[in-house]
Amino acid sequence: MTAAALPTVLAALLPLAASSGGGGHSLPFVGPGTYLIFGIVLAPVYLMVVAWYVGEPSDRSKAWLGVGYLVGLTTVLWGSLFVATMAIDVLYF
Amino acid sequence: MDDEGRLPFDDQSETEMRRVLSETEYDTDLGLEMARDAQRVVAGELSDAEFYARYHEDMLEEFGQDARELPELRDDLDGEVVSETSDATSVRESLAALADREDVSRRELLAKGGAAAAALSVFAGAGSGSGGEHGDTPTDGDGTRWGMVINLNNCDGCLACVSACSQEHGLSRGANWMYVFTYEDRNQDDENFLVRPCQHCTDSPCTKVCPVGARHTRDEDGLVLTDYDICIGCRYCEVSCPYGVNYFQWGEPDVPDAEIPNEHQLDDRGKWVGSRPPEGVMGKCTFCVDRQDGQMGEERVGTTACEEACAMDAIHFGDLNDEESAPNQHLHEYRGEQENDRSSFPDRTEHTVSTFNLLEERGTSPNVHYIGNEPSPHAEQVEGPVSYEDVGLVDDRSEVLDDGAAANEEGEEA
Amino acid sequence: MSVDTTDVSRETLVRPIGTLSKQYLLALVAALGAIGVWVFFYLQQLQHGLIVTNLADWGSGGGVPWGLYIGAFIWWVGIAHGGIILSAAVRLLGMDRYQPVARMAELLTIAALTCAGVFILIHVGRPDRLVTSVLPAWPTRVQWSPLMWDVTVITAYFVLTATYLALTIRYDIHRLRDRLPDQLEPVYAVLMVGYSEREDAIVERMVWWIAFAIIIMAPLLLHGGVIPWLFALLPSMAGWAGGVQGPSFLSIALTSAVSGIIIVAASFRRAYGWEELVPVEVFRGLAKWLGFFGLIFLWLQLQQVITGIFAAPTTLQHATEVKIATPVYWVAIGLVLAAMLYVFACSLRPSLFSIPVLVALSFGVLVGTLVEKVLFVVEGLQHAHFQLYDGVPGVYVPSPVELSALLGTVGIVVLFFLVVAKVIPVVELHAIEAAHEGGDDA
Repeated sequence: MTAAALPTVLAALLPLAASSGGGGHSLPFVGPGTYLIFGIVLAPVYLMVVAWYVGEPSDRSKAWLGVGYLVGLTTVLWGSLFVATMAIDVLYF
Repeated sequence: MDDEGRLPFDDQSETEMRRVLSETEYDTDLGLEMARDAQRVVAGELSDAEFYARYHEDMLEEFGQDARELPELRDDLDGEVVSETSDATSVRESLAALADREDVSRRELLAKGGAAAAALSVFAGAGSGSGGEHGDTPTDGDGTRWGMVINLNNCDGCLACVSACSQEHGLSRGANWMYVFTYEDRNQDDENFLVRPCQHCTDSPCTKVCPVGARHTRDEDGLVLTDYDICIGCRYCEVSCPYGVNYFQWGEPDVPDAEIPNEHQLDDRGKWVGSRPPEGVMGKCTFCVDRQDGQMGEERVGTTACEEACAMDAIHFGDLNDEESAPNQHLHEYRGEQENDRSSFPDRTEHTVSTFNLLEERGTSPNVHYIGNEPSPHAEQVEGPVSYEDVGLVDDRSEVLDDGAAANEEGEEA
Repeated sequence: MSVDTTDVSRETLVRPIGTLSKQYLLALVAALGAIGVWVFFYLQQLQHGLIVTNLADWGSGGGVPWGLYIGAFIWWVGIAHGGIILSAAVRLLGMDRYQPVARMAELLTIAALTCAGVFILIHVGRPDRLVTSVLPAWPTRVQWSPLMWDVTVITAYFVLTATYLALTIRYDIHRLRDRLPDQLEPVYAVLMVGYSEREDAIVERMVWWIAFAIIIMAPLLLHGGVIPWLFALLPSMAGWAGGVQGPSFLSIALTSAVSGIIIVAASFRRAYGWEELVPVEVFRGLAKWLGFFGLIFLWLQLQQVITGIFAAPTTLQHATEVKIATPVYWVAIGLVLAAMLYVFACSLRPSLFSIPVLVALSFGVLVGTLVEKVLFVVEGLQHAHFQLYDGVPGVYVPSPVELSALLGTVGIVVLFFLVVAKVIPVVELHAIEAAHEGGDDA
């Protein structure tokens, strides 16, 4: 059961999977959140990452270490949540 | 319906429009003419392409540019096929959106959207699906848009619709997708009823807030549905809905999955949106999506379980964009029966039929339209002529849920 | 950069790592017990569904669909915010006095955010779909759903905080390595990957920028933004909609966070005899912040009550009247008020100040802010604009299942600190360097 479910789940995880968003909703692709999240909320993060690479003192390898932490921790966070939810799925649903 | 009936262009409003338009540097008569035709677009009488073509040159002459942002229409004029989904409603929407923008001053609006938008803004809301007030029907562009006209004057509170809905969709006790209020109100002596299915709003808050897109509007016919395969059960749709039509599946459904055939569950896109939701997922009235997709036979397309069960001719389901559909026909006929005496009193309205949308001020553009009186803020729900218990239903679902919770806890302890 | 610290100071710093007391084991057992109780109840919830909570549908259902789970979620997120805001402020504004508690604040942030995440997981009806539904939908839903804004910003915030900690810890581990347990060598090896002393200045600048990003995001956009917007943007519920929710949420977050830091810092101080490492001045300073944030909290509550009862729309008026007629609301206000009054009294008469009293009042503030949050969520739902339903307002009393989750998350935070304190120094080395050198970093 697990083995059969896993490929489906992985396919569903692809952001470009056709099923994304449930389909058929007619809301425009650009909404208030587009500007809010990508334009305003995340702006300090963009600035931070840029500052890691330019300006003194900076070091490319340390900047990559920082970016690695950002990407790695995001992956670990959602990856472990994925494992936990899959365990719940197998045991209870 | 003639233009006079549809468009609220009486002397007073025209004077007001002239005043507004004359405050601008632009041609007042052109603005007025465009406003009339823009209203006709809204009412579905005039196609967008015609509207665009009719004023394109005037706009260029007057403003130096045609600021109506309608690229799809230009494509249309160039002979390209307009996709089904980006149909006429988009023009109405862009006009209405422009007219509704309250943060833009009228002068700015004129510069940005042209005189037609400004003219429309004077009548903002008059033609955008609010219906009824001016004697029109709630048509709104092309394409199917399922909706209801519910005549509350006909309702006798028998709850047949609630029972039928519950049975057809296999709902758990207390999850009354269709719900009927009996209420008392100030200045009204007798019992009043309010029949409340999901309003299948055109601007539904629930679809906007859904984090995963499970709650969505089906493009082909405007049904607001829940994809039971995607819903995570966060209940954000439920707290955003002003009408309280959502019923979460808190525990195991009363009717097991095996008893519900697939064709009632999967819609024509193959999505699981029909019948009662599984555990942990949100449910609400689907306007009998299985019927609309022809799963219960062609003769049942355009009908709902509640409509069929209603012996009082109160519920009228159909395509609101079709003048000949059951809801629009009922509206015509009912108004015809309630004509005003205009021979002696020419200033009176054509008829005495009162219509309303529930919580219209919330801006949700519901696709359920009511004939009758809207409950006032002082209205209070009372015991109806037929109680929910009488017909084997449960009114207050929390009683069932409390029982369920207690039973489970005891079960664990035992 | 020379390290000019005496051995005694360093010994003090790593004292939690080397020792193992009876009290520690007791706390460990208590934390695991609390988590165990919650797990027991949560397994029941998974077995039977959310029906085991006291939640129900609003409207004809006569209940509330959101309750303690959501209230506690906001509460934990709030505690998390204040923690990192304080830590970032220490770095950005040079508030060196608070350096001894800066890392505890960061750790509290991570633990509290984890608890907030737990509440999301247990709140949803289909936890098994949390990842499989949310991630694929993210690109098409983040522009619309405030809940997706929330998921996005909390993820970003968690990652920033953890990165901040991971980068700052390198300096300390390098210099304290000979005092750290050998058994954990693999852990330190991973944390120290690619370390050289030359990186200190570079990393210092990098974490300055993280602090900068955090200090903009956390107050303005997270607890003063996406979290209140979950409610403030919905006009359907009388008590929720409106611009005051942003400032109000933020004030509650900061008040509860300072309380949390006071409790954590006082616990370590007492357990490890850290009177010199975390001097009383730190607590006096934190107390002033607590009093100040408490004042703002109370002021914003006053704003909401007055605008809600003077000439408000019917439903808002009703919601406000019910709120101020609810005794437990005044308990919440009273608990924050008591803390504020004590702090102000101590300013006038410093001899009144005592850390145990402050800790007790901080516990009170945490209870008060939690009560306020849960009431906000529940009473908002009980006073929908569409109030024709006989079942509205419904009744809501948190069930044992829900309360157990609160217990469990407190257990998680305690367990987190117990474990982390055995692995890394919970006070930055900079703190004692600053004490000896008079503060050498900006």
